[in-house]
Amino acid sequence: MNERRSTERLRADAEERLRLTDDLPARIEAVRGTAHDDARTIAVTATVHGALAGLAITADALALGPARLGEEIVRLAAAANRTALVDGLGLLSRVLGDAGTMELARSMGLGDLIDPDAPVVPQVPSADNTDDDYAMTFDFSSLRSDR
Amino acid sequence: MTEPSAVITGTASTVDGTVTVEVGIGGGLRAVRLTPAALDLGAARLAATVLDVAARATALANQRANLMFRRTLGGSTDELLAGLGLSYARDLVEDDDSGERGVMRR
Repeated sequence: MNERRSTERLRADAEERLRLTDDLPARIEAVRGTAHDDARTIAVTATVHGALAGLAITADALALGPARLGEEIVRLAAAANRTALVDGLGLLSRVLGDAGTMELARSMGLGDLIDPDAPVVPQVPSADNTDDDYAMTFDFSSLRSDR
Repeated sequence: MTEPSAVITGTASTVDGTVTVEVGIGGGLRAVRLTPAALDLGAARLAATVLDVAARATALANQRANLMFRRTLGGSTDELLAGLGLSYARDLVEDDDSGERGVMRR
């Protein structure tokens, strides 16, 4: 009986991994990050690749002049991209587990978000954890999500 | 070996040259260059113009990446790049330098 349950569990875990990775590219592609300046005169939305997905400028922003306005758009796009990357990494974290997420975060330039003292908990997707909210709750300060 | 994303860029401008956007593969902004005349568009139209020019610059960068990967790997890389989220709309890169949407590319 135990062996049969174990086989069923292995199969369920494998199916869960397939389910998680099946639509992952589309979910990551849909991630958007937003950033705005302190005066809230410019708001930029970017994809995980950094592409502009939205841009809102108020009339007050025009007072910055052409050079500074262009620079601000680039700066905010980078900040929006970073936000999108963090959320995208959150999506991947459920598949990668803590160690893989941490490694990827470093390679993506997000290593500063990692608490060096946080425990790294071995984790692989399993049928025990099918909470879809998990994907967006990865907490870099603890290096683990709310699983 | 040179990192592809470090050298492949796409740049597009409005026909009148008031708005120019340079991006890397995937569309990451490298530069937004505006002339004083660009501000005459007003805030809303300027934002829409920057978005439009950036989309064309992104398509051009992704097209160049596609061509480079195709030369390196052989065969079609459309599926590979689409999986990486780096596909591009053909109509954004097949225009002449003065397309009907008023955007130039280089």
